[in-house]
Amino acid sequence: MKINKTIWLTLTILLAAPLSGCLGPGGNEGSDNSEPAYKVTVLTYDVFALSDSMLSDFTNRTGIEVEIIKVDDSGTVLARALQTKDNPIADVIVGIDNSFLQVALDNELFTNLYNAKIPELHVEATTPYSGNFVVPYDWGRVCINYDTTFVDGENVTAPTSLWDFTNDTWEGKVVVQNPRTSSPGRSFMLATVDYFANDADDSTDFTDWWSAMKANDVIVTDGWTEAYETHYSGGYGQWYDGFVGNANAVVSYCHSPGVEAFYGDNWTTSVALTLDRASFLQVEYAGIAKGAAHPIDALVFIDEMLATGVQSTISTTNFMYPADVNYTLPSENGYLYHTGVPNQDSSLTAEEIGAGIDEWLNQWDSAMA
Amino acid sequence: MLEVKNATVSFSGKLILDAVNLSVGDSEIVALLGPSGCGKTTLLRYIAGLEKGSGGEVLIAGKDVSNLPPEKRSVGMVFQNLALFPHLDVAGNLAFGMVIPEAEKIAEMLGIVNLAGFQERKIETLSGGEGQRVALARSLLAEPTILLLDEPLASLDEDLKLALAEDVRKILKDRGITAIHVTHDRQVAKKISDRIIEMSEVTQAED
Amino acid sequence: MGKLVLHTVPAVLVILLVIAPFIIALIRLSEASEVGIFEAISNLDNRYQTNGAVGFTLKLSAISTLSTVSIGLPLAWWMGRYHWPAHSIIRAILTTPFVVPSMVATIGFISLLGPQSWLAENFNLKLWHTMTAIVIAHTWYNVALVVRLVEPAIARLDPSLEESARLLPGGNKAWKRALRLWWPVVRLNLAAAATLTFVFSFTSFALVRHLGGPGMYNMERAMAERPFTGIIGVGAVDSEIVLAFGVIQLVILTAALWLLTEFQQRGKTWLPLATEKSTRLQLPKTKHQKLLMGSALAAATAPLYFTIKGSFSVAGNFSFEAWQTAFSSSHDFALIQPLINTLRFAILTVIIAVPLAWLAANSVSTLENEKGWSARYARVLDVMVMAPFALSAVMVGYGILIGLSHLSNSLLLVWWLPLIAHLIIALPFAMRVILPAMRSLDPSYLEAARTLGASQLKVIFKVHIPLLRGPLIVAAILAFAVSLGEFGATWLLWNTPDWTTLPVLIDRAYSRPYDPIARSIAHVAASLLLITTLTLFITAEKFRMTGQEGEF
Repeated sequence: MKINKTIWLTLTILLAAPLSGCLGPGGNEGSDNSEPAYKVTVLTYDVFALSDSMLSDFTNRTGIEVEIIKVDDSGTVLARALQTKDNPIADVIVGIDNSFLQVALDNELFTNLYNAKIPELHVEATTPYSGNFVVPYDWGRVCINYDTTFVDGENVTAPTSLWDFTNDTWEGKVVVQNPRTSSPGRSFMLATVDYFANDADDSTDFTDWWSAMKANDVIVTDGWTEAYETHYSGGYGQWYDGFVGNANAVVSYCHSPGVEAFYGDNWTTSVALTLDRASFLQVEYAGIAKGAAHPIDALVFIDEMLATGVQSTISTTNFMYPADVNYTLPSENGYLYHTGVPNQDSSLTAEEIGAGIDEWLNQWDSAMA
Repeated sequence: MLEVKNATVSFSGKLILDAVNLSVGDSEIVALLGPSGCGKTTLLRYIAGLEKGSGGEVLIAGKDVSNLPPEKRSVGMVFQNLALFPHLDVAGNLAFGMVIPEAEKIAEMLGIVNLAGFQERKIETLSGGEGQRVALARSLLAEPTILLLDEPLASLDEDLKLALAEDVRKILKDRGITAIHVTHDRQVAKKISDRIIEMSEVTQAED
Repeated sequence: MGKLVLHTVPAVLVILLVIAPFIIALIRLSEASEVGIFEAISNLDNRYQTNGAVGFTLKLSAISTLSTVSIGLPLAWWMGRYHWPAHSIIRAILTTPFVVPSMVATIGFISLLGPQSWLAENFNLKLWHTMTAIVIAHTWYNVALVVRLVEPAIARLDPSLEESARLLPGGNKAWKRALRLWWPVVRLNLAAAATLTFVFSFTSFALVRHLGGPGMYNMERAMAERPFTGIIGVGAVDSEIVLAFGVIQLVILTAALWLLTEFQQRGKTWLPLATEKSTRLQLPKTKHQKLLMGSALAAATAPLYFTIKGSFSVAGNFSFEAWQTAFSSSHDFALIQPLINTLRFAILTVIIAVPLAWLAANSVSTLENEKGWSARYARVLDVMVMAPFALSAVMVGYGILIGLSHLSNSLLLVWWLPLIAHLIIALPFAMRVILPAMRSLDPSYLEAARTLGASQLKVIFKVHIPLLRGPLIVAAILAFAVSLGEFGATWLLWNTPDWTTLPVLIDRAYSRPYDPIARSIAHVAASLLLITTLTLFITAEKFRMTGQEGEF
């Protein structure tokens, strides 16, 4: 019957298509059944520095195959690592930052890195943590960026205190990220904890500021991309589809204006707000999972992340400062020039964060509800 | 050939067959006569194994088949609504009950029921009488020990009914088939059977 | 004896796949959350994302339902009463939206309503990040449902009923007939369609996530991005929130499901037979009606048009670059592997879900007429298999993530983990098609086969399955489509790049920073998914047109 033939033909085509690929679980260059002698599994989020070319270059030189388990963000990296800590599914964990680090350490997720080839590091990279269980591979400062087309010095002056953002001028014009779902959002919230604990006014703390921001229609996004690309008027988003541009200040990195200038022929309208304690030093770490299946190959991978090849390009692949003291942001095209450098970051240590973060997040939630 | 002892069947608490006894001899054609709803079909289904009873036995050619499923009892059944498979053509239906379908035997049987050449006809194109004959042919080709006919002629008009009843009797007798024919029509019963059994005689259940 | 085993197989599998993981997940969530369920629910008010989420969800669903019914009913009326030129094509176009995967529709609406979209630039319509945008999208989706379910009731009404009504005082005016004749005909199907619309809007995820913008959270979205759920200690807040929303969703969805079965039991099946026999009037259509129908057709296709159009534009310029990059193997968002994965999951879903649904439907339909425990078991099995209808996609995801992973961590890495989610979600759909068909099949066919000496297996394969071929194919197509478009659960589960599906990839590509081609690739992926889905449904329609009894 004709109908039968059509059905069978369609089904055959549909079935044939997938069978052309191999049926085993994938690896990068999948060999399916046998465990390759040289192999490392990396649990990470979308870290640009771990690009396909970097990885294949690594495999070519060392013979170690790399499988990447990619989750959504830094927090999810920690979550997956915690879920599987008794039976780790990855050898290397990349991307936990200092705001999450204490939880990771308390849960003994890592093994010691005595033998890692660690170059001399920037002092900032070792400030939050200087132990042996993880190594920093990049760092940066989270702070507010504002658009000088709006903050033109006449109608609107540059903020001299975070309280300025709670005024009418800034109503609905500030975009931040949810500290529960975004790493920079979380960092910034921690900065505000410190900022308002140490400012002149003893009667207010960060929850009062956040409540005032909520009353002033602050925009809260889930992640950095949406805040910076879609809402911020001073960033690269204006060249992209979906741009709204209704915010003139955003929580981003102090070096974001530098990145803008670098890709914008040494020109940008974005400026980093470098008030004392209004920035948060964020360091990102890599470590070997405790109980990893391939600890030796993992070590080679860690070494690679700290080696010249990766570190020298972190500023343009990952858009962060490299951990290696020998490298920093490029001076070309105004990258370094436009990067804000505060005199004083907020001073919370990893332990203080570990102890207080749950409560602070709950307080933030209540203030914003 | 067929012995039914103490058949007892109830549906949702209502007793349909109450310790029914029935016996049919080898190559005998028996008509079960009774008004609608008195349990004739139920008795037939019980014999075929499509209904379960509480207690009672069915013996076919001396063998106790009470615990066997229908497909193992060698009991053929022609249903009231014929139940001809719409997704198969006439030949397909006829071949269904044959262990090894043989085109010759199918052609032969179609000749016997006066439907020569009907192999590739679609079921929905058959008339009432034609369908009857295909249904009968189908059951016969499965070579059952006992053939049960559940008012198969009921939906046909008078003349056709009686004519077909004669044909059916001839075919069954030619082959020596033991059969029970259930009907409420006394005329048909007389035409087709050797012996008429009134349902009221074999069952004590209330209508 | 063998029969007994066969009857228990579907129950065992459902327990293993659905019930056990959920119970384990629930226990784990309670452990991790450190507060009881009532406190968890009252805490919702105190948190940023969750405050007002329940209210918003209900409001969104209610408004979407009203909007859908008010547009869908007139459309169904026109389709049912009048014979339009190319009638079946028009109906196909109007009902297409319902089968479009949610991420494809999302991309389509972003291009249609977003900041630089055609609507924004030509009509200055600022619908971006508004509830209106989401309601529009929901309406678009569900009008198809109303037309699908209500039109047959109108089309197949015996004209003599209407004629006799006209001659009676109770029906001599149009509005009287509307009230006394048409409304009773239509109301049950409409109620079923409305309930389904409510349910789909209630659990909407992709649309709210992308069209809603910051601050707009329905329950599904507020539940979704909670990475620490189920982890004791650091996951207390996440677990609490998922627990609270999970329970609330379950209660509301179960109530909706119950309503749906009520409507069904009142005589009308919610899957009406759609034979081609129609009693449509061939009335001339006014210009007004033609214009409106034209707009409806345009509205039905607009998002799809913009989805495909967007794949040919990179950073605002016409370009094939997105398609080229998508099919190269080097870029992060190369589509070949995800496409293969998506198809593979879909085929496996069909291969497993349809036979399983068959087994379950068989058990239910044979046992429900027997006495005592058998009938009770049939009822329980029926409910168990349909249970996933009362679960949202994100809940299914969490159930698998937390429930199954509790059994073994390495289960989290198996490539077939999302497949379990697809099976759970597809099974009730398949069951819903197969079971009514089985129930309405004349048992004498199977009995005749047995009296012809056919073994159980022969009866199943030579008679039962062929006679139910139509519903089986529809069930297979439904299962395939459900798997193709599944987003919420798959997104939540572990996704190594090798085992990403197209819907998840669309979401990831769309959210990627710094990369202008990523958005265009999202369009390419959406277009691919769209074309695959449409091909599937055109095949299904073709098959249905050949005179088999069509059900949904």
